[in-house]
Amino acid sequence: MPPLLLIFFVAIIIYFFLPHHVLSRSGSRTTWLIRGFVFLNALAFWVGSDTWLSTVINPMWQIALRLFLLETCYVFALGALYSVKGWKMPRFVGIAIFSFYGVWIITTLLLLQTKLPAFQDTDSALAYSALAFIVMRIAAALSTLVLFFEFTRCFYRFWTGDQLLAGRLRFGFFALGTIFAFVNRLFVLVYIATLFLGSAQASSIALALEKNINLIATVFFLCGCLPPFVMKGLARGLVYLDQQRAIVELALLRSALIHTTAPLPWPLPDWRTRLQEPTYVLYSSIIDVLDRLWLLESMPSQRNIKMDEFESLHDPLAPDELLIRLRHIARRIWFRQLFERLTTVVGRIPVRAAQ
Amino acid sequence: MNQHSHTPSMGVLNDRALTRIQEALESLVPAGEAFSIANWAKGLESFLYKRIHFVELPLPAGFFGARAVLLPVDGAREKRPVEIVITAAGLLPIMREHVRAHELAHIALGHQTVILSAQQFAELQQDVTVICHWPGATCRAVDPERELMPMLERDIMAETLARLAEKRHMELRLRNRASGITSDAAMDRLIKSVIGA
Repeated sequence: MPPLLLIFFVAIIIYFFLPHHVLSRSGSRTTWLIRGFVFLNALAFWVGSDTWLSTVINPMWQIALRLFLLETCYVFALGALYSVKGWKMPRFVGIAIFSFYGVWIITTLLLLQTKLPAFQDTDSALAYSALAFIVMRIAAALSTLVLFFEFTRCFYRFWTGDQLLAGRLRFGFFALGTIFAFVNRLFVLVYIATLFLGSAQASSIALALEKNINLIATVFFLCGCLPPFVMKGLARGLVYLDQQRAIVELALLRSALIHTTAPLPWPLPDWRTRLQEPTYVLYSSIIDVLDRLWLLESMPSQRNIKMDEFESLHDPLAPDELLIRLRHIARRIWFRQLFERLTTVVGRIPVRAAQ
Repeated sequence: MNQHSHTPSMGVLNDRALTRIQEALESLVPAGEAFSIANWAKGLESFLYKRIHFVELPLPAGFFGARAVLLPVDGAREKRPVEIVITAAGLLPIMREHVRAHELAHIALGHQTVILSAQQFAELQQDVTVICHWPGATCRAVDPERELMPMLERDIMAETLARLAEKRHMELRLRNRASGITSDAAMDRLIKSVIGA
């Protein structure tokens, strides 16, 4: 993990455990599960990366402990999500968790009776190829693969189920983070497979990819943990950008209609208004487009564009749904115009070549 | 957004017209959660001592709305003049609301329209489309043949006021959507307990 990201990570953990935060809340079950998740996650991070600890215990045990702590912290996090929404843990998740703990206990007992080699550095312990250790790592990777699938599923449900933009954004970040974490676990499995195959180059590539994907996942998780005021600001920024995009799409639709209908008496807002008052311009664009469409529909002789595209607008739609429908029509028209232009350009090529 | 600080570019409208629109927006259009066509009409009814009645009728092509004032009949229980706001049949809900907002904007801006007696109105009911071509009638239309500038300026003023009123409402809805943490109070508590907000 890069030092800057590490500082951010440690700062968040310290912030979670500031005395007044811990003392000011009696602590619901969910809060303590989250605190347990953060604590065990930090502990797993320290156990897995501390060089001093490597001088005290064998680095192989550091990895084994880290796998245990990570699994447990993820279980805590899932427990918190289930607790807050009142959901029940699916059976396949329970099986994955108990299978990991079972395998971990058995392989630990086996490894306790094994004479472990001294590793030159902590990273070389990752290449330790004792069967019990490999089995433990595969069990951990598979189990966390299932857990991250479940995390993604939960966050996706939160994301799509939330009406408020800040919430959607936060759960969007978390869902993307868990997707990357899921992919990361796939690369862990690939790395273990390359160790079996004995391909040093392939294993170093797999390890490098795994670490980079892990970094991306961490960035998304940290983004998801940003305070509400930052998330609200981001949400407003995204709404503004989306409005600007919608205005462009509706302008395209309007320009497609302008050739077929009479000009409207209302003046078009200028670019400055578009930047400063996007809501006004967006609303005006919707009304202008609908005016033209209805006018066009009342003048059958001037039907130069396909009216079947607009028939779906007659359904009773909420304004938001109507805007989505209009944007779809605009995109279809844009693609058709692009295709027609490309066809024209491609059609001209042989003529020019012949000249 | 503060309407005093900057008004969207209105093209052909002069400063006097813009000032009137701003005054009407601030004093005669309900703001915030209270905004709705019904509330706006109610406010205008009590402010102008009128009754506003909405009807939906088939109008000629290119006409979306029209307005007429019906004078009270002698001896009738209703003493107030009735503003009849006609919207074209078959419009989408958003368009119908907008056309009503446009006609209410005409009323709020004090624009005159055709005044009918009860008898004239009864005669008109056979062909209401006559109102659309009546000289001086306020209509929301995109008829290219309407080139009378004073009429057009009135229409642009009303259209601008209607759009500003709807925009203010849309902005409020958007702000509300962006201002909460999540839609779920339990999730809000969780996030606050985690973030420490």
